[in-house]
Amino acid sequence: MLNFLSLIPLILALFFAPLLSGIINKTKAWFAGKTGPNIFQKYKDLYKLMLKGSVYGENTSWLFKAGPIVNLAAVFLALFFLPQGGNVAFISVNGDLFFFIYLLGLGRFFTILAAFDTGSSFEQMGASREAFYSAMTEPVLLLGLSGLGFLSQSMSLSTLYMHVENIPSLANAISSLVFIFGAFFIVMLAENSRIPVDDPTTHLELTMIHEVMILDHSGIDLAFIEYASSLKLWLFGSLTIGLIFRLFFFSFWVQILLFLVGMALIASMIGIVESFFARFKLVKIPYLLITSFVLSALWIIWIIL
Amino acid sequence: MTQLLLITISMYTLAAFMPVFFIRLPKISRQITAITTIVASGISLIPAISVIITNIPVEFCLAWNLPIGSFHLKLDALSAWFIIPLAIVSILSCIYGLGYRKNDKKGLDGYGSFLAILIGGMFMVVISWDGILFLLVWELMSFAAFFLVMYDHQIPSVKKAGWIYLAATHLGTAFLFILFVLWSQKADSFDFSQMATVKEGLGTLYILALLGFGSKAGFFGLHVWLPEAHPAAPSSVSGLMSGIMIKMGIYGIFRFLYLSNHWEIWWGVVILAIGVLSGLGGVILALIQKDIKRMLAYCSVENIGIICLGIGIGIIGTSYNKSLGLLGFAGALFHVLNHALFKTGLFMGAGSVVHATHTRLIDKLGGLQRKMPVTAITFLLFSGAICGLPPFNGFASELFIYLGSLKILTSQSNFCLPVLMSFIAVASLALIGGFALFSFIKIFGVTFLGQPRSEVCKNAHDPVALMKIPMLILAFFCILLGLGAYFPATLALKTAVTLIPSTHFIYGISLEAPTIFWIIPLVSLALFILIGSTILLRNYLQKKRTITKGPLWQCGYNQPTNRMQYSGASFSGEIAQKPLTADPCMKVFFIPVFGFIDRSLSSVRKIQHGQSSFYILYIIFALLAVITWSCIC
Repeated sequence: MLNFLSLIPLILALFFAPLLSGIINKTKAWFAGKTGPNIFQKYKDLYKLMLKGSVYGENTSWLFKAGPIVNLAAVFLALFFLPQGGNVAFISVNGDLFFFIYLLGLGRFFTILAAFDTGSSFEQMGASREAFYSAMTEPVLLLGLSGLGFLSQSMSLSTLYMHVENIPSLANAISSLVFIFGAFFIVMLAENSRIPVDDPTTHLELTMIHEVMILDHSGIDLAFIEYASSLKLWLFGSLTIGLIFRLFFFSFWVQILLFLVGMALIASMIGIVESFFARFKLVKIPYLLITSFVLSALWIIWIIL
Repeated sequence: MTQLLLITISMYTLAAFMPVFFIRLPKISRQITAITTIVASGISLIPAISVIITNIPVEFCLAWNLPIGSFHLKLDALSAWFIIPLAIVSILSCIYGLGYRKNDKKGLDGYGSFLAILIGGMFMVVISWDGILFLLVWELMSFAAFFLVMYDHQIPSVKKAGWIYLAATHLGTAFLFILFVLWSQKADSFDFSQMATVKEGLGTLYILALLGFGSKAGFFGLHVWLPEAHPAAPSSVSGLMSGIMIKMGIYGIFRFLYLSNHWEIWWGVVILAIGVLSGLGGVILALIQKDIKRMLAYCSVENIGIICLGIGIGIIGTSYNKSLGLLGFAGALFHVLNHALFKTGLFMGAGSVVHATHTRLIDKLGGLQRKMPVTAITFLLFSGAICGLPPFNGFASELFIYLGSLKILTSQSNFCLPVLMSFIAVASLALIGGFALFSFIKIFGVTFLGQPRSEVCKNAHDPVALMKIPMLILAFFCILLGLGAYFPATLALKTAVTLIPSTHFIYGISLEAPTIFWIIPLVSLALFILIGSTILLRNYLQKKRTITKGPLWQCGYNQPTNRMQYSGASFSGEIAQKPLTADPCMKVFFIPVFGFIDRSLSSVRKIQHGQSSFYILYIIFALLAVITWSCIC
């Protein structure tokens, strides 16, 4: 049930998670022909925020302060369920994938409530969008994961990201992987507020989703939020890249090394997508999410037939 | 134990007649009636708990003067499972009701009596073991609820709601009449033990049971009375109705399954489809409501949908591979218990808000958490529980249903109907969960967070202790059943196994709750430790820094007013531009159909003219007809 060896990738995740946004920005800068910010910029930002004081909005209550904390704790805890690079997660038990997904839900619940607590219509607008879009991504993830469960005949997140022996035909599995990989990739973009769903760098609050919810957070609270979103990107990144890792098996250390390379690849893929796409109009985002749902449903049809 | 059953029933009867003894002392009569009902419910817990632990049913049979049926009571594990939430919710609703009606200037009224009849009726429904007795107490329960809905009958909308409820419940009962008549014809008796021997024609009976019990439970399509009756009833009653009365429909379906000894796979497909429809339909309609109690009523439709998903997974699993369905049934049973707890709590919270502000429209509220901290924090907790977030109890029961679906998936390696159905169940459960989160953030956020939107919030305050304590107790139960989910989960599995017909039974099924239920408290503990240490870290880092309060970012605009906040309607604006006032099923189906019936039967109304001499004539004609009929046959 508990796998202490997995503490190694877990600690690596804690250290390397903020690096992903550095890689994304570097990739974007490379495509734009710029130098771009330092690859370790996120670490510097976090350090700077940690040393700063905080300004709390007038009339905000304890929920405003609780949001970043509960979110960070929930995302951090979800990491313990996460199989990284085809290894067994720290906690692995039948049905833990639901715990994983609902822990992320708990974090989101408090983030949204914290935004609502301000009473600012900007943040409440972001809260509404976040709640709507995340309601549409959850089925994609659970459908995809239970499809993996069907393929691997197992019920825990670790084992369904591990076993390949039970897959009837490897070629079939690889070709069908395109669908589920696409679906998870879209979910990753949506959940982590990346282009084309959300643009964290935009200057117009009216068009933002996640960033507009945290407008009034500052100092250490903002650092918690930023770090939690780095971890969240890591979580979704390893769920996506893990789909490919199911098909191979190397020794533990090679696996870890390959996994880190894979995460860097995922980050640069996000960077490439962000360089080639503009942010979609808000009304189009539900279509994108429905596309990801259709992709995972198609994948389910592929594997059960 | 038999004596305890009879004592409970007589206590409820006594409570119903109590106001008669204290006709001149309305205040004391209220209290004594409530206390008698509370004691009766407390006593009913004893046999229920003992049956659920020992699994030995309590039985009592008495002949009566009616030509058909008998006074046959039986309390088995399934009944006991429903009695526990019934008793808890009843006790707390009675206490809440005392506080709720404290400043009510009404003199003597039927509230206490009808409440006792309603609770007693529900108690009898779950223990009656005879078709005729069942229908009698079913009607008793439905009628008592009607009078409670009509509590504020001076208000026209309440009166309308009462009539809609009455029509709906009778429509349902009509199907139940047909069900029991057809069933007893096949069995040659109204006794449930005899009925259980029927082997043929169960499919038709199943459809009738779904229609009859479904209208009480509030399946989507038959749910139209819920959003009318729940807001109209006093909040102490709507909690009871939504928390446990609609579960009587679910009990009926469970009892039907218990008594039928052969299930078909399409039964599961049908109820799973109902579950998906009710869950998604209920939650989408809940999302676009502007009335807090109406929203909670739609949310009950959603939760009934979740329960149906569990039953569907249970039937499909069982008819395929005997032990597979157990988790689905256990999840449905567990969710019955959980939903009774948090939905009653939510209605109590909503009742406290309505009590303090005299409005049910959330767009007039806002910022109430500062004025009503206890209500706000319990409401937040119940919202978390109903959205199925860990570590609350709603998560445990949804997890059960997820596990049931996943277990079906992982036990089949080829395409078959159960696999497809399980995928549908998982996807729709996830979608329902996501939208439930959306709608509860809306309802909690708009009501309790932000700033007050209108004057009504000015004098809002937490309710009296009698109203606060039940909410706190329910909140405590929600956490307790979430953290300690392992024990109720094991009991739910043990109850679920009694449902499975003997023809399907196999030996060697593990009746232990899955390991993950052990993980819940451990992970929750880790979560609390993590939250605690993050707080400590924040406090440490903030120690030497300046912490100030400042205005919010308003994009350069410096004169924001409270009415500029996002309203409930704008929050769900992505789903529907305008909040929906009329129920779509009502508008599309029921109003046209009932309008047509009304028009075409208007000529018959002429015989209903109010002249008693003619009525006596009708009676004579009717009697003559009966005599002739009996002579001919």
